[in-house]
Amino acid sequence: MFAYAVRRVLFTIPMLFFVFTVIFFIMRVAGGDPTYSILGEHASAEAVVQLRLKLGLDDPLSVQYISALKNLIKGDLGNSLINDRPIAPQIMKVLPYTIELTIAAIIIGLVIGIPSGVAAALKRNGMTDYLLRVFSLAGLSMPSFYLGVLLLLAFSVQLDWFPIIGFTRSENFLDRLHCLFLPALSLGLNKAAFVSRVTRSNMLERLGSDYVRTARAKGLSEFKVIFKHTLKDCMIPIVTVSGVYVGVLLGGAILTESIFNRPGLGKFLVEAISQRDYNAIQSGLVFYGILIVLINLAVDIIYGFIDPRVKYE
Amino acid sequence: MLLFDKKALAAFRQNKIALVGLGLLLIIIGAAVFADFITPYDVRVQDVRNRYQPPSMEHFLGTDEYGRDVFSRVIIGSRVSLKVGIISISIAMVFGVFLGAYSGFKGGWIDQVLTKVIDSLMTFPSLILGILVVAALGPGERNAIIAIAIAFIPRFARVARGPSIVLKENEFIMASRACGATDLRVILHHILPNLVGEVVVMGSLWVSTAIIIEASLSFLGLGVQPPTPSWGMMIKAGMDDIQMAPWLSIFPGLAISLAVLAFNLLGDGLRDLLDPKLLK
Repeated sequence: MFAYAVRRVLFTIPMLFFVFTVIFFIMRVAGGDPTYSILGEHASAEAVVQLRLKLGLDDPLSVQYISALKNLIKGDLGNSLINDRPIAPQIMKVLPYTIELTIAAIIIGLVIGIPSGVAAALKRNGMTDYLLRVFSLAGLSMPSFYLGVLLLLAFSVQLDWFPIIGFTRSENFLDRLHCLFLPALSLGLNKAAFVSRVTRSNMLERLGSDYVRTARAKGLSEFKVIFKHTLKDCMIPIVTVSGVYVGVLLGGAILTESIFNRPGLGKFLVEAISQRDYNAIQSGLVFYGILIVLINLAVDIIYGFIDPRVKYE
Repeated sequence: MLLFDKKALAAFRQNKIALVGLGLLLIIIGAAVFADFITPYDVRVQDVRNRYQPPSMEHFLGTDEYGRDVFSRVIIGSRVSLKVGIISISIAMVFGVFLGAYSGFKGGWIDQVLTKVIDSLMTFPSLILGILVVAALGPGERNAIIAIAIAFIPRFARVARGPSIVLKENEFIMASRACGATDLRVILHHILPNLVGEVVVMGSLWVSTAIIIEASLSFLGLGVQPPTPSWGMMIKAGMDDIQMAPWLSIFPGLAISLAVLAFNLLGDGLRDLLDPKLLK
């Protein structure tokens, strides 16, 4: 298990390397020249030459790539082209907000999605099943940012139960939770719809299987049959799709942060794009890459705990 | 080809969900095509005296901050969503399927390298991949199409690769190769026609995702630029006045959800058709 984890961690290094390379070349080759976006269109030729020299843009692409890679390994993402402040600390400051939002959305997705999927499977083709399927189809068709707008409208504007700005600097845990709830719900409901579908179809597949019949024949209570035998076996596909879905949530968080005015990696990235701060854009994207690779790693390791067949050889 | 099979067509007619999806889709496409005749007002004409009018008989869905008719703008907005969604997925389909089919057909190191690259790109959610490309190319409708197409190429490649590995072991392929057919010919004439069904199903499901991504990019100001109305942009613009004029965001969002629902229902229905377990 430990050896597997170490090997899996080592395998993520070429993955990160690949992610960085792709982002670097797309930004540099397709992204064009950032000097004019920094200096404005009417910059003097002299100023342009000086800036290009300072940013190292006249070096061959390979030299730029290697120096960027070296800096990345040292944890230095360079400075913002707009305000010349180092980027890494700026990202580290907003990153916890994005992680907090994503984790809360995952929890909401699982807490709502798994029970409703189980309920739908147990009452197959009944009213509950029908309603839950309609809800999950509607949930999947509604973009999470639109759901965010509707929730904001209903619970913040009309009912005034939650603040319009989904974040607080307060240290009080309950205050933070209060502010986090709506953003997390708007992001998580979409996932709940997805998890519910996966849970339902996997439960249905297993409820008719031999080992479930055996469990029932042994006289186990229905509770044990469903939760200890059937649902436990469904956890592997659920974890798999959840892992894939975390990436989608990270993407969705970019919009959620914008709707609820929360600081975070997404807001950082969108601001960088609107200011054409190429260094910041590249760094923001690299951080997304790192997060996604780490999530995949985590999902792989979680398998070991829920599936005893995974031997990690 | 299974899609045009008589039996399959009959099954499709019985699949109520797919029919609802198809009907909804035809309405939306009709609205986009005949928008000029349906819209009661010119979407660009501003009417400052009638700003922020709530929905009424004169303005079905109210008016916005410049007094423009929201109903007309939602109808015209369908053009952007459908255009970007369908064109980007079509481009991704052509490149992705060919890439995947080639990779699976060739095997060996080419397949290994391509699969590694595809898998790595797949770990990126399509929205983030789209933002990456738009960040590099700059905002706009054409770039949004390119960005979404690039985001979906690896997905189509993966769909096409698996079946082409199985197909290439078939005798008719061996026969064709024995007759001296080139790789390109075998792929175009024998492998691709056998992938059409599966690819069309995934394509119709992914158009819905592409529409969501287009709306997300527009919402972030990275898609179509004003004054062309697009649904995502309208939601974003409405956010500033959400307390006073909630209809500005509600209706464009409803339009997105209906379009996405239409493609989801249709795709689900088509998938049922291709599932031999369901087709008796």
